[in-house]
Amino acid sequence: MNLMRASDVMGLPVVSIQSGEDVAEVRDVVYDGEAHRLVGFTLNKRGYFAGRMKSVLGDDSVAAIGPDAVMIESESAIDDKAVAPAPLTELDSARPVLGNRVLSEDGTDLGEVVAVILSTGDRPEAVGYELRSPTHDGTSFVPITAQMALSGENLVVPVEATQFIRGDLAGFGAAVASYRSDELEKQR
Amino acid sequence: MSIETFKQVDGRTVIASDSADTIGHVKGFVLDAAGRQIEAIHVDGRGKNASVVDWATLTAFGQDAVMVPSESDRATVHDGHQTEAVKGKVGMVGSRVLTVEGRSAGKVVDAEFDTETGAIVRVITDNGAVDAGRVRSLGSYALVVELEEAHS
Repeated sequence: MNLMRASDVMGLPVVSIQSGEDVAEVRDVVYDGEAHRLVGFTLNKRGYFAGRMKSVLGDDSVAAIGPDAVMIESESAIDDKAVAPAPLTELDSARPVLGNRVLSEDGTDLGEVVAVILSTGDRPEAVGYELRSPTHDGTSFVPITAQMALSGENLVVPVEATQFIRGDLAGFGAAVASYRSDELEKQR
Repeated sequence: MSIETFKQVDGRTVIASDSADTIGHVKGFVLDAAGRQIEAIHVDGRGKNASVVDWATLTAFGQDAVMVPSESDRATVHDGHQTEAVKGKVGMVGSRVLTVEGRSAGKVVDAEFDTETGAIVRVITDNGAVDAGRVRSLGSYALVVELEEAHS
């Protein structure tokens, strides 16, 4: 599974597969901190006189997120009637996630959320959080789980999720994939 | 079917059959938005004054010359799409290549086309060749291509 920090999606061109045109660029990521879900993107115009676009790109209208561009099937994927929800960098809406302390159910402080991690490809979604370690320099990555409890300042994760914490993004991609297949096993 | 590349044919003389006059040289191509078919050949002039010959009017795209019935088949660019192409805003060679997954895949170096039909056969990038069947579009930002089948 290929992963990206949500903040690295900002500034990427939004390109139509049908026309090969760059119709917009990502201004900000819209994220629902309570549901731990990627909602979509707010957009800027492309070019020298770039300004904010009223249009919004919902996550279900995205054909794929890649390291170099966000792809849409055609320009009609951009919804110019929708009201843009509050994006990630607007602190009030981001507060449910960024800056939260993450604790495991056994009371261990795992660190503070510094970034939302998205899976790339044709079904982009939020899969984890990057945490700044409370004890040493550097960060780690914890998978998003259905059982995460959120209070507005703390996020509590089940103990079994902690074994999938990784220190690097590439390793975390593999960890998320195996965590998800474990979860599927349990549901059977 | 005879295949040539854009670079091979660059500068080739364009001749009117009725007068035997040279009416221009191959300077570039106007492609359809899908990036798979040559619509017209840029034969003379620049920008708004550029003139083109529609592919459909050609009698032959020969090894030594491109033949059109008459000088009257040469026309000044007549729409925005053609103007963008002759100005180099939308062009195959030099275009950025982007996969449908949003990953950069180099730049277009050259393209092979069928001299009978004007259909693009393969696009040559600095990252390898791409069959025309994988090309989704050619726009001012990029040539968008499907991913290659997974290697088994």
